Amino acid sequence: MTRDREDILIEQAASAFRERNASGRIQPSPAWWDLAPADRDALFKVQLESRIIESALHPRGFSATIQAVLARIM
Amino acid sequence: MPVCSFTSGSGSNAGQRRLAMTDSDAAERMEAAFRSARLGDRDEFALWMAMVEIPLRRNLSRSAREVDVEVVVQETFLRMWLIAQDRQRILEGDRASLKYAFRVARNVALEEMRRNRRDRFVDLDLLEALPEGRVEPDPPDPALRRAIRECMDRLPAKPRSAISARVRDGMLPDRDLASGLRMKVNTFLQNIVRARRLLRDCLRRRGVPLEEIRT
Repeated sequence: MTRDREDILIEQAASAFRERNASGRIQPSPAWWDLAPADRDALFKVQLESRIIESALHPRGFSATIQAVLARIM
Repeated sequence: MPVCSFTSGSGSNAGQRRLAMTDSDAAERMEAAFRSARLGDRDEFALWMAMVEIPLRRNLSRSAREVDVEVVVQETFLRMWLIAQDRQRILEGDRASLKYAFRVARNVALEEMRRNRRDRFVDLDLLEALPEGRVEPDPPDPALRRAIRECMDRLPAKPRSAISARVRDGMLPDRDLASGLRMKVNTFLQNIVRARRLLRDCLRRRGVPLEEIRT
């Protein structure tokens, strides 16, 4: 896999959007399955970085993860 | 009535960290937010999640090869909301809601490993022995916010529009965000990758290395 392809997969999986199955259970990102173990470590860091940036810029400090959960419990 | 009690000495790392006054204040605010969530206050629950999310994620770093951490964090928060609504369950002790969330997350991670049928490759004792990790909630950082905003403003137009869409509506699918910007999904993602690199460089030049914040 090329570095560019890995970066795109990591960026896909860094999104807070997750599909759900018929029973409502949250599903892993399809891109996550295609990542090698070392790339999953890299993904962890990009996810963390993304949530820090999102919460820093949100007026109330809510990351995309929090907004996704709020949409579920509203 | 079940009472889950935590003391400040539980967990291998607990008590080893010197707590600044701001940590203590933040911890009190965090527990107050969770108590308000018990009364059905979603805004307070959102505030609680905002304080807990980063410590919770960091605590899951060693599971990152086995599970999609985003799934674990979202599922943990959904369960904590249900726990907050359960009047029969009371969490007591120092940073009780955060420590309980760590345990819920650990269970969710185990479930995910089994669901992914990777549990045979995972040393479950290793997961069980994971340290409690950092148990202080993260207070908001105005300086970080300012630096990120200034660096975002300096990005070229397309990378900036792509990463801004993610920041603003990151809970939506990329196909929707890309469509709103009239980009193909792959182009949208390439622009975010580029934006992220430029943002890291800019923050590093300003003395805010995201690599250190995120580890």
